[in-house]
Formats: sequence, structure tokens, C-alpha cells
Amino acid sequence: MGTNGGVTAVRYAMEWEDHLFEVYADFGRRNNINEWIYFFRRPEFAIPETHDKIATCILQYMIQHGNISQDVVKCIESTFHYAEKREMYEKIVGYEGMETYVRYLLSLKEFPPFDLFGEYEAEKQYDLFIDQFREIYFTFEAEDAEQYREKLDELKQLNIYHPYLAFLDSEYYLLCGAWQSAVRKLKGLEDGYHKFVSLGFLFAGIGDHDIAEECFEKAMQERETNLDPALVVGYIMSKWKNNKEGEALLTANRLAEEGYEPVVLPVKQVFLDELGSLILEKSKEQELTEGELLILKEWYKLYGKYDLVAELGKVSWQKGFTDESWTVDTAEAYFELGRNDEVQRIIDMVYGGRKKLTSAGRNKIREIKGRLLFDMGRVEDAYDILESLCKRPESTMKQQFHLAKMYLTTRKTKPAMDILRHLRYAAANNYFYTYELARCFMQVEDWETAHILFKQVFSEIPQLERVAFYMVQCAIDLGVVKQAEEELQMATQHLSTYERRYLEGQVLELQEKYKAALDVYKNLVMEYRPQLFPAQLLHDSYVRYFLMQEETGGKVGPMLKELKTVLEKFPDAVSLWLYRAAFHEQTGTEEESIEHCCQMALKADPFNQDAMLRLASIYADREDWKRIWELSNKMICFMELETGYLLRAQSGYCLGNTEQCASDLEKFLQLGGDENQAREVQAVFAMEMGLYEEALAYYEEKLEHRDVSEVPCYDDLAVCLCKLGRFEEASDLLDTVCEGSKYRTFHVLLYRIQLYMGDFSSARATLKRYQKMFKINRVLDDDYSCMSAQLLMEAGKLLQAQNIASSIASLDGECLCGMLEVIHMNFGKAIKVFRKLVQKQPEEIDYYSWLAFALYFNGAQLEASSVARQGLSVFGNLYGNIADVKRADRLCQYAFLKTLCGEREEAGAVFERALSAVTCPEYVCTECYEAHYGLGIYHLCNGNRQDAGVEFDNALRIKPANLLCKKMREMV
Amino acid sequence: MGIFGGKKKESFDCNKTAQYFERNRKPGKDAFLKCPEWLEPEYDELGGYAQVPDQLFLLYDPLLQRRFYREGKVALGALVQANELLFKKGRNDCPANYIYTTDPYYWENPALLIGLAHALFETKGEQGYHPSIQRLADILEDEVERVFSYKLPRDVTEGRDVYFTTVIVQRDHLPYKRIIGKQYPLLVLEENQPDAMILPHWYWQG
Repeated sequence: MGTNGGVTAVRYAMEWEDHLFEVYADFGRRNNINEWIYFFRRPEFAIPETHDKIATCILQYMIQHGNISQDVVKCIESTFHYAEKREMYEKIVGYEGMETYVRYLLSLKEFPPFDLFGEYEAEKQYDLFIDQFREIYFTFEAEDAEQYREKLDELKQLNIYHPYLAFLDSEYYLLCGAWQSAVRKLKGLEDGYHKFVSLGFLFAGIGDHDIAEECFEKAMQERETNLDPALVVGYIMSKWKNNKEGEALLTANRLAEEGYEPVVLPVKQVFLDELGSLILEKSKEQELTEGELLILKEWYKLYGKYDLVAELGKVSWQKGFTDESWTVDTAEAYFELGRNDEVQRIIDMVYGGRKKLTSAGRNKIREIKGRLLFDMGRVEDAYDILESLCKRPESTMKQQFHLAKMYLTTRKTKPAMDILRHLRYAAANNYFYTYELARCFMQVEDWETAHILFKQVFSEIPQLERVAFYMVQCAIDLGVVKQAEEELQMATQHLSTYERRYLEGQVLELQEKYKAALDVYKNLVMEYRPQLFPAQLLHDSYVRYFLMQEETGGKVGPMLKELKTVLEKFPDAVSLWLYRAAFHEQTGTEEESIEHCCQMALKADPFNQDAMLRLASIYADREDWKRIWELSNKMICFMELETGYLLRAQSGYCLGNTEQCASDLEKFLQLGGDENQAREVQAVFAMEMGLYEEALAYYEEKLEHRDVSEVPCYDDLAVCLCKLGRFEEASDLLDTVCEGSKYRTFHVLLYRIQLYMGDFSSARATLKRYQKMFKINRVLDDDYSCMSAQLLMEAGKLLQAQNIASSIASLDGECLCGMLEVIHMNFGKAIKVFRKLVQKQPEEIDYYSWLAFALYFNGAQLEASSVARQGLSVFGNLYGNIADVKRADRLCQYAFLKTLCGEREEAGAVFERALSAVTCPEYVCTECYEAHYGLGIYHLCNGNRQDAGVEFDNALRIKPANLLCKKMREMV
Repeated sequence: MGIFGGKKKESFDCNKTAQYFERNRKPGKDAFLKCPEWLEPEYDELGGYAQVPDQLFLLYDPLLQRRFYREGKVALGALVQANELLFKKGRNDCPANYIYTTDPYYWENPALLIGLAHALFETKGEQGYHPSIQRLADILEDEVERVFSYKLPRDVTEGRDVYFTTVIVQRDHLPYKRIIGKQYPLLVLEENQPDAMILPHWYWQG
């Protein structure tokens, strides 16, 4: 066919849908395996592996069930659609979504079962039969028996026999009042789930609860993955009506723990209301039995009357009741009442063996202990308990749900999602799980998925607290005006006045009517401010109010003043503290209070991720590793944030706790952290440990995988090469890079490397290219002038260097002038320069060193000693105790000052430390020039000229062109 | 022999060009791509990019350029769409979309590759194609999205490997400094992103 065939294939539109529709619509084609094989050969299915899985699954289904129902085909259709939107599908169903889906697909059974049709006859209308059968069985509500008969006759005219017609006949007899015939019809069927359910309801309807219960019991034994809610209700009610209240209650509680809570709760409410009132009446006349008190306790629990539950708990202990639910429920009641000491007492009793419970009961007490610890802020311990409980095969859905909600509170969203997805699969009818899963998606700002899920819950139970609000909020966050307007309209009756007005304000924002939105928020906060309620929404309204002020040209000063006043009134308003932090950051006002704002936000919400990340960034700027370490531990424990692992690796390394770094980085990557960020950290660690080959490999990898948003790390790579002594290579690399890059750092680094190598002509060429590329004014650009002066100085052109240095406006220029005076041995002039510099920038340690040096060699040794001491004091303030200092350049700074202040014994030892220390990662040197030079000065000051000469020689080996060192060598 | 600097090659033979390139891999100074001003990123005060640069900016990495000449393979490319400025004389270097292959079958039958490129262009802005082609239709419609080494579905290419990509067309590398033909030899690094550049015309062999 040639490539024209290919071209045709390009034009091939989504015909698989048409094909599927054809198959779906025809019973014969649908159950012909060749049709499916042809379908799966369609070209578009050749690409994603998902399609292969589905194909296998369908064929497996056909082998297992002999044929395919319309439900399965529908399911296949959605699966293909899902497969195309795989990301969305995986988000909702989970990462093992396809496997889950396949399991679900394989468990689908058609109703009525097709294999009971008998031999296939091509001319018969099976699909019509199925449609009509289902309509009559599931949806048709006949006014009388006659109408039902007509419908049934219509179906039977299709002349297709199926044993399940007995279900319809039975229903007809019931409508006629002939229940015995109805039962007979059903009993003639083969045993199975549907038969027992129908019989159960039939007997329940005629008041024979004994047999009804028996039928439901059998149906439960034949149960499918997800129980029919009607069966759950029927089963519990049959027990209750059969005077087995205790059993009914136990069954209800068990099914609730299995995830059928939303179905069970209304049933429980009905029978507990009735029984509870009767028992209360009875209690006025006679003492109640343990069984009656148990029902009363359940009734109180259902309505959240925990004080009464606790009272009953006390009674139960006095009377020595044995049912373990007394201990568990009393502990739970105290927990709900916030009486932690009482909860702890019960826990101690159980843990100490004074209260004997079964393993299930003990696990429930452990669960309460976990929740108690969580409330007390001991999150890690709480997680230990609940995670270990949930790992057990006998863990209940309730325990898993509690763990998921805890995760949600601490923003550990991913594990929360995993649990909730699993729960949703296990109990499809439980909308609480869907609701919480939707909240997870809100937390990760995936508004689209959250919106889909909230909408599902809203359609099921619109009155559920805040579901309408969240649904509309997500629609607004999606940013589609029309959709937001429509949903707000649709949900209005389920919203409180405050919620509605707040959402209306946001819709106005979407419509870019900022002034009107400002008015809405202003009125809201003014109206509700006195009652401080609803707290969270009120805080959020304030944030929107201030944002609208910004949008409508509000002035910074008055806004800030108002913001402060509001925060005085609402010190626990997390969103407002964070808004204030962002406000300071953007406007550059009171930048020092950003940290305070974040701390206040964290105080009000210890799990606030935004506040933590902002604080971490502030501490990182300050190199406050200790605080970062603490913060990162919280990030890991609370929310398992990948950034937490990265920060802990960095801070741990800086604090000397290197053991965990590798595993933290590994975890960072496992959680989806950026590989290049990890490489960067690994490279820095390797550099600091002097493992330059390893660092080089990391940098090379980083370059290979770099994202376009990252500036390439050629500078780090070049430094690494220099550390390995491969200066030429580093210089060549940067020279090539600088040809086409306008990144200043590369040019400056190349110049520094060339200077270090003593290749002055190349350094001059580099400077020239730099000046040309960045259109630098040679006179006005201080940085450029400094580099020029330094180059001239190193090249021995001292006069020209002096000229340029004296024209530099910044302190660097003055410093260069001072250094040149020292080289000229004009110590008097140098002293003047450095004195000024010390005055102007007293925190710069090098100025003290130079000044002390000049003073010393000018004969003013006493004053030199005093200046050096001042320098040492500044050093102490900046870097703390010398024993903790590891960097060679800092050790040299310290030892140099110690030499000049006369404390030479320590100076010598510190210089030796500097010699053996790893060279500082940001310099291009291979070994520390300063350490040799400093040791030379040290020996010279000690009058040991021979050793001084050796050390100066060593220094000159590293930097052969250094004039000062040369002069010192000559002096020796 | 032309009057000004010799006759330029408008057409080429992919096999001969590939062989010639293998013998002359060492690039001259003009072989490297030069970043046009509109693609140059700006840097912020912290040393990062002020804005995320265009993905094509990665092509100007000098080490990547060296890799292209050291490890790259010659491929036959067919133009799918290009910035219309490139069809006229001018100064600006602009992006273009190509499909390319190293499969000898297409080298022998370049018209088939051109036909496929044309068919792909026809999908531009249309709806209803199967997903992997629909994605290309959307990319072509969008015009500014950058896609590299996007493998075309095998049923479209009769089981052969053909890739869709975005390249930057450097006028200096083309004869007459503008797009004239529909097929071009590309220099590709299949695993890399970006993966292709046009092979400079002085390597082309007829």
C-alpha cells in the first residue's frame, strides 16, 4: 500500500467508537469473539500498553462468562476514554487504577445472566428482551396488576425463554395478592444472590420476618463486592423486626465499620429512636438490664450525647458489666468531651492489664490512644500507632479513615489519597470517602478533580456540610465564569448566607468587577466581625478584601495599618498572617517581620506548609541550619514533603550529621523530587568533602539532564576541574561557553581561572570580550575596573593598577589601593587606607588583617596586636568557636590574626589545620595558597627565616606571580 | 561556477551527504548555531533566568553543539510547517517543524516522507484524529509549542521510525539563506531534547 496507506491512517478519525457502538448495539456481534479480535486490531490501539491490558481483560471475561453484557461494553468504552485521559483516571482511581478496574470489570455479572438464554438463535431480539426485562424489574412501577401483566406479556411475545422471568412472574403474583404463588415461582429458581434477596423482601413484606431474615442471611453469604444498600437495610431490619435488637445493632455496627455507614445510619436511627424511647420509659419503673443499657448507650452515641455515654460507662463499671464496648465507648466519649485525663486512665487500665479486652477491643483502645496523641501534638507517635494498626489485615475501615483524616490535617496528602481511594473501592456507596478524597485534591490545588468528586457527593447528598460550598469554590478556582455562575445558582439553597455572599464576591472577581467584589467583602467583614464567626471564612474574606483593595489601587500604608488591627483581633487567622507575610515581601515593607508572620501562622496551624516553606527559605538565607533541621523534621513527619527530605539532607550535612543525608536524598527522589536538585546537593556535598571526581560526575549529569529553566552549571563544573588540577580544560570549556553566553558569572570565572594560571594575556582577552559583550563603560563600572586593576597588579604593572584602583568608587578600589601600597612597602600609606576601611566596614575581617599586617611591618607591633584582636572578636561573632570552623580560608583568616596579635602557638596549629583542610569549594585553587603564605609570615614573625622561606616557596609554587609573596621571600 | 562564491547546492543525496559528513565531522566556526537576539534570555539579580527561556535555547549550548557534530547522525527531514518569514529573504532565524527519519527506505523514497509531512500539515487545527495524531494537529495549530523527538505512530509510517520535531532554522546554514525546498538533511541526536538542527549546506552532497 506504500506510505499512502500511512497518510490514510493519519486521516483515520476516532472510528473505534463507532465500531464499539456497533458491537454494543447487537447481541450477536457483541458475543462473537472474532468481532473483538478485529476491534483490537484497530491501529490506534497499537500504541498505549493500556489497550493491551484491556484487550486481554475482555478476552478473559469472554472465556470466563461465555459472553459480554452491555454493562461490560459500556465499561470498556469508559476505560478507553479513561486510558486517553490516563492522568485524570489515575488520580481518581489510584495508581493501581487499571488493575482495580480490571478486577472490577471481571467481577461484573450481567442481569439477567446471558448464559441462561439457551442456544443462541440469530433471528431473536435478545437486546430488546434484556432492555424490557430490566425496565420491568428495576424501574417500572405498575398502578395495578393488570398494567404489570400487559408489560410482561409484551416481553413474553419476544418468544425468548429465560428462567429469570420467574422474578417478574413472582412480582405479578404479589400484585395480585397471591403471595404463595409468588414464593413458589421464586423457589423454582436456582439458588443465588438475587433469588434470596427477592425472597427476603417478599417475606418481609408479608410480615414473616423469621424466614425473611433467613433469606437475607443466605443472600449475605452469596454477597458481591459491593452490597446493595437495600439489602443492607433489609438485613438489619429483619433482625430487628424478628426481636433480635442486640444482633441488629451488632450487625449495623459491623456493616458501618465495613464502610456502609451512610446506609446504616438512617436504619439505626429509626430503630434506636423507637427502642431508646421505650427503654427510657421502662427505666422509670424498673432497673434496666445490660442489654437495654447497651442499646441506650448506642442511642446516645448516635446523637453525640457523649456526657450520657460516659455516665452509662461509669454505671457499667459499678455493676461489673462484661461487654467490652463499655470500655471502648466510654473512652471514646471522654475523648470527644476533651477529658484527656479520663481517656488516659482507661488506656492505662487496658495497657496495664487491669481491663481485659479481646484483641479487637484492644486495637480500638490503641486507635483512641493514637487520636489522643495526635490531638496533643505528638503527631509522630500517633502515626506510629495508627499506621501499625492499619497495616494489620484485621484493621477496620474506621481506623483507616481516621488515619486518612489525620494525614489530611497534617497535609500528608498523598498517603491520605491512597487510603481514601482504597476505601472508595471497597465501599462504593460511602460518600464520606469521596468527600474527603475531594478535600485532598483541593489541598493539592487540583481543582478539576476535586470539583468532579464534590459534584458526585453533591448529587448524592446535597445537604452534607459544606459540600455545596466546596463544589462552587472549586468551580470558581477553575476560573470558568459561566460554570461558576451556574453552579452558584444551582447550589444556592444549600449554602449559608455567609457562604453564598462570599462565593458571590469571588464570582464578581472572576468577572473582573473588583470594585463590586470589594464592596461584598467589606460588607461581609463589617457585618460578621463582631461575632467572630464563621472564623475561617471570615479570615478568608479579609484576605479577599485586602486583595481587592490592592486590585482597586488601595494605598499600602493604610492597608498595612488595617491589616495589623485585624490581626490583633484575630491572632489565629492563618490565612491573614500569610497574606501579611506575602504583602511585606511584595511591597518591601517591614521585611524583618515576615519571619514573625510565618511563626504566628504556624502557631495557629502547626501543619501549615506555606508558612513552613517560607520560614525554611528565610533560615536558608541565614544559613541557620539548626532551625532548618527542626523544620525539615516536621515537614517529613507531618506531610512527608519531598522538600523536607532535601532540606534535612542539606541541614544535616551542614550540622555534621552526615549519616542520614544519602537516605534522605534517596527518599526525596522517591517522592518525585527533582533529580537535578538532588544532583546539585550531592555535588556540593562531594565538593565539600574534597571528592572532586564524584562532584564532577554529578555536575556532568546535571548538565546532561538540565531543564531549560536552569542556567547551565558550567561554573561549578569548571571549578571542579580546577580542583582536580585540570585548569586548561576548565579554561577551554568556559572560553567556548563564553563565546555564546551572556551569563556574567562564566566570564568572571574564566578571568579568575586565567589569572590564577598566570595566563595574563588570555585574562586580558577575556576581560575585553566581557566588556564588549556587556557594553561596559570602562570608567564607570566598578566591578570591571577592579578586575582590570587586579589583573595589572598580578601582572606586575603596579603603576597602571594604581591608576585604575584609585578611580574606583567602591571600597574594593580603596582596598586594592591599600594592597598596592603594601606591595610597594609604603606601610604608612597602607595603614591610612585600611584604618578608613575598618571604620567604614567594621564587619570585614580582611581589613583588620591587612591593617595589622601593615602596622606590624611598620614597627607598630603593639597596635598591630590590638587591631588583630579586634579582628578576632569580629571573627568570633561571625563564625563562632574556631574548633567548629572547617573552611580553609576562614582558618587562615583566624590564624593570620592570631599570628599578628602574638598568640603564635595556636596560630601555627590552625595554619596546619588549614593546610590539611579541604580547599574551599568556591575558589579555583587546588591547595591553599593562603595557608602556606600565612605559615611563612608565622615563621617570619617567630624569627624562623629558613622555615619561612620554605613556606613562601610553597606559596609561590601555587601562585608564582604573587608580588607580595615574592617580596616577602626576598625579605627572608 | 557561479559569479559570487560558487554555485550553492539546493538538492542533496542523503546517503552521499551522510558519508561526507562522517568523513568531515570536525566543525568549522560557522557550523555552530548562533543564538538570535529574540531567543536570548535575560538574567535576574540572583543569577537565574528572569523568565524561563524558549526550549530551543538549549540548542545553543556550546557543548551540545559539539555533541551534535561528534555523535549526531544525518537524517532525512521533511518540512511540515515553518514560520513564514523563513520563505522570504531576511535576517531573522525562526523555528520550523520537521519530520525526520534515518530509515534508508525513506532515503530511497523521499517523496513518501514529503507526502507524510504534507498529510500531517493537513491535520493542523482539525479535530477527531486518534490521540497521537490529534496531539500533532494541536501542536501545529498552536505554532509556538516546542516538541522534540515525537515518534509518529507506527501504523502511519508502516512500522518505520519517523520523528516529529521543532528546529531553529539558521539562515546561514541554508543555501540562499531561506527555505526553498521541502526536504533537508538534519543532524540529529535522537535521545536528546532538542534533538535536531539543519545540517549546514556546505556538508550537502548531490
